[in-house]
Amino acid sequence: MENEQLTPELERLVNKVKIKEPPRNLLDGYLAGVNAKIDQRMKGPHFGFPQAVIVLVAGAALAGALYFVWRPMHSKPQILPVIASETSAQQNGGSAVWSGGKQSQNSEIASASLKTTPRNDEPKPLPSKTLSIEEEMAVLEAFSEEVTDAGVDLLGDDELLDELSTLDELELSAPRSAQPVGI
Amino acid sequence: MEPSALSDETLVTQAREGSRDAFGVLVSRYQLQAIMMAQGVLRNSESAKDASQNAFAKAYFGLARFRGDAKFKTWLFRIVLNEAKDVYRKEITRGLFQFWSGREGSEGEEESILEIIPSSGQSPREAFEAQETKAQLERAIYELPEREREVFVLRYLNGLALSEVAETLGMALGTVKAHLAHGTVKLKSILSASAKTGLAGRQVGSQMKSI
Repeated sequence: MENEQLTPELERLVNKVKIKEPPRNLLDGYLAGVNAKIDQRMKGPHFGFPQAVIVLVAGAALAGALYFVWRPMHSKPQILPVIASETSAQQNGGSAVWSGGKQSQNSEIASASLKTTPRNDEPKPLPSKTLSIEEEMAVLEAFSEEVTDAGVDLLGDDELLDELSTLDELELSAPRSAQPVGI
Repeated sequence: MEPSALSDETLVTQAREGSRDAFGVLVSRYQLQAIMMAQGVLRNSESAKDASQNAFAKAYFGLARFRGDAKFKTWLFRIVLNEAKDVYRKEITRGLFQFWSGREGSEGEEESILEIIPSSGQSPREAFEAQETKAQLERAIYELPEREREVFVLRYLNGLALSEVAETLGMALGTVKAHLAHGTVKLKSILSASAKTGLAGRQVGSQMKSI
């Protein structure tokens, strides 16, 4: 053996030792063991019913977990609050607030507008404090307006109440000389 | 002609054609060296036997890819070393897991991979010193970095030629020589340091005796 790299001391040490041979009984059946391992690899991995069940269950669990993670990330409210959308549409000049697309936004505004304002030529409702029924009755009495039976029936209608309160506001804010006749 | 007298190349050709007997001859020819090579990594003869058997099985299925540009022996030894390293890494991981889980390890203990070459006319004191030298050398070898240790063990303890070491480890010959040079220098410094500690220990021991 060429020991060209070793110093004399190291060479002396190395020459005193050798790699230990394994016990002889370890070699018994060695070739049979190799052949057994070859045969085992030839048969291929065992994939039976229990393994199939485990794979299916694990796959279903993973799919479910992915679905629940993915779902909240991609779901967003499609229907916007009507008043908020109208207000924001007015403030932004009709531009979309949500990134859901201007088309859907505008269509929602259009449909919301149809619901709350039957006629487009009427003045747009101003933001106003909603009066309670008692307050409205007091206002009507103050202006000596008779509430018809039909009107009483309609008092329960929120939309009409809004219209009435708006008209009342307009009348109350008008100059004194413009007060209606009949007081 | 006896199968055991056939060359490696002939046996490999026959084994490729499906002759399990030809492959069996190759196994018998290199089993001892394969176990000893795996033992150098795993430091346990049972684990080394299992790893080397797995390596032979992999070599059997890899014969179709063996191009014959390297020797069968060095190609086989590369598979054995890689298999032994894989087993070693798995045992490290399992040992860490058992440590964290508070379980006792059930694997075989580490064994010494070296033994003294017997010499005639050795006194008991010389035999004792030889055992100490062997233990020191083994400790020093396992303090070397992995690559330098592999090169050193293959070259000086397994008796492979430099070119065979290069083929087995898949390195250039120059790289093998560089690793060998660095490993030798480090080994020398480790042994010097441990000799100083040993000398100091013996001095302390002699002082203790004089009290």
